[in-house]
Amino acid sequence: MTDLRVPAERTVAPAPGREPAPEPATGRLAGGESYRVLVWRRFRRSVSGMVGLVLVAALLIMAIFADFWAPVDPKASDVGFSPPVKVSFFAADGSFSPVPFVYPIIESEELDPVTFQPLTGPDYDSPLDVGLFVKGYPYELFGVIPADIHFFAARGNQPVHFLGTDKLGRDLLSRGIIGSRISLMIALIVVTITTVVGTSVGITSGYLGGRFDAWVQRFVDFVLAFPQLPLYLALTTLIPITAPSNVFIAFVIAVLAALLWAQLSREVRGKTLALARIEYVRAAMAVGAGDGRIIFRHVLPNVISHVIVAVTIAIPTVVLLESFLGFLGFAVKPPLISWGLMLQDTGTFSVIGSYPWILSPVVFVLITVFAFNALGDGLRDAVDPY
Amino acid sequence: MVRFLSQRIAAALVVLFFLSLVTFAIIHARPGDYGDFVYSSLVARGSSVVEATRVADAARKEYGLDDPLPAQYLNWITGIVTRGDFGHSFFFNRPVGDVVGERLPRTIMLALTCHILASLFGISLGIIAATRQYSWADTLLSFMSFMGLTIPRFLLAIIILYILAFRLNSQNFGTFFSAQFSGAPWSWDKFVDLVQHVWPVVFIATFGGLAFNMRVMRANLLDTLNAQYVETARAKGLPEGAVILKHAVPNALHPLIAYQGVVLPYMLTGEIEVAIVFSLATVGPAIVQSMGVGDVYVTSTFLLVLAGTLLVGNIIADVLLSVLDPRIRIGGSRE
Repeated sequence: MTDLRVPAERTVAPAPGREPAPEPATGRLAGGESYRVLVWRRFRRSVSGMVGLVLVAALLIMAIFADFWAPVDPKASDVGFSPPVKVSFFAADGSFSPVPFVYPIIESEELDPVTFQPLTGPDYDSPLDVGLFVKGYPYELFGVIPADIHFFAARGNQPVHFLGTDKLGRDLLSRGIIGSRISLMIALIVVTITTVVGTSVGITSGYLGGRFDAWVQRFVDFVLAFPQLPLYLALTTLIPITAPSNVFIAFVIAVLAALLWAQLSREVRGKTLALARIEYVRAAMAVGAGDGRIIFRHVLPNVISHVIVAVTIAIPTVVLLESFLGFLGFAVKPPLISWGLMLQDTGTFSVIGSYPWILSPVVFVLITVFAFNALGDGLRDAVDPY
Repeated sequence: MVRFLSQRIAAALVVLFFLSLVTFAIIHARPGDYGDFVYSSLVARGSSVVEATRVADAARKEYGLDDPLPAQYLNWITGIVTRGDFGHSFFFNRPVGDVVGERLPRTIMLALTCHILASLFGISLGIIAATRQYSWADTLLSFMSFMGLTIPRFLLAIIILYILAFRLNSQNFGTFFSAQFSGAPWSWDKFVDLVQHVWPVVFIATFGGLAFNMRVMRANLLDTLNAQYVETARAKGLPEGAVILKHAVPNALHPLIAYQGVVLPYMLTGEIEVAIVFSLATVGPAIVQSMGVGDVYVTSTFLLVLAGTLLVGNIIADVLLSVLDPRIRIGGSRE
């Protein structure tokens, strides 16, 4: 996305007063305006697309600097199923404090008369001040730079759970923030693989045509004929339960990628078939350009806009699949953290009934899905500015 | 027509054959076989290792598990084709065919209900949106269809489940009927009871499909409304309602029917996802349960049967399309 945006802004900047081309047809005649400028201009007009762009950028920043945003060590455990704390300016006795603070949740000596679990509740004796850029648990930025500053946390290196904790007492907010890394990484890797494979298969098949095309399309038909969800489930049973979590995640990525490329290749092939009949491609053939040159210089640039849209739409699909597989317990294994893994506990009725805050990873998934879909929606209208 | 049908069916059979190969491969890729299952259950019951090995070997011999793989495949596939024998489910402890026969009709009925509702509402709302382009109704419906396509169905299911169970204190989920109706003959009360139990599943699965249909229908109808024959119909002085319903809508429907190949798996997946969350005794939970315990026969049989269902659905959609649209030449190569 940034690659679309940056040059566009630079080119638009010198002529801020100029009217945007009202008719798609005149855009082409305006002269000197690159494709990117036109796309960006049109994209800016789409409200949902801009909202999506901002949200996607925010998500990526969140994932890259996850440790900085996470207030508490995501692997440290505390009181299990502790409810979210309330950040407040007013103390329990009604007095006002200029610095917001929280009452940490602790386990008391008493037991619940029904469940015999220790009762939890706010500790009114030791309020904790909340602040920005607080020292917390140590981490390594980009995996190399040691740091211990966190954006928003309680002072004094005390764990405070803004969204509550899960059954092992781990902070849900921090796990959600850190989990975005694995969830988005799976999505990005899967989509990269499917894009490369889908595009090359689609272009080759559509461009070469003939018998090769027929056989490839048979194969694509075959892959598409599978009911997807049951096939994912059947394939994930093949992963040995004892496999280390890295192998497990690689297998999940492979399974997802193996099944998602077919749809894209079908779409790209359709585009390529249409393009192969257009004059400039025929002209290139007539002057004796090689297949490689035609594919890379003439066909690919015209297909790429469609592919970019398909990619933005595919990312939320993968995030969703990961969270659904995780919900069923088949996606990511501890000690890795992902949204799907966090949702695994929500499968039990009684747990979500007593501790509804463990549903909070749903919000992360929803925002991600919404952001990428909105971005894709805006892009789809914008990539064809003529 | 017969030639067209037989061609499509032949093509579908070829795909089914390859699907069965993949299914078989999945069954056998897992370490361990039925013999190991017999062995471990005997040892767990306290019989000696020698005895358990002997019985396990006998079981392997009986079921032909020592044969080379091609022979086993032939054995498996002839069992399916001639006797409807899909193997034995370790987890449900009865023939896989029974489990499938019990659950698949429910899934298909639910998916079909959702499909019909999604088509009816999706098409009507699409017509409303397209005929009032850029009005508030269009904007609202577009927003709704974006939401329908964006909101993940299983998350929606979890949230609805939470609200039903813990905010409304309803107990009408997870089964098809209340206890008093479970063995009763069909009656109006029983039907109402059924609706009370399955509406969340139907609602959630329908919502996504409805959004999809509405979006396609709106775009198609907008294209058709710009066509010359629509202009002609208006010029003849036909009332606007007749122009839209008699001239524009039938032509806008064709691409939607051609889309059925995409919509069908979508609806089926939706039903499965939601049923898993609600643990409604249909195909979805059965697949997940059998996966969890490694009961590969059940998982892969469902895979095969669902794929078959999709293929049949696609053929029906093709036939329907050729009936509705005489321009599509039957028997021509569509690939």
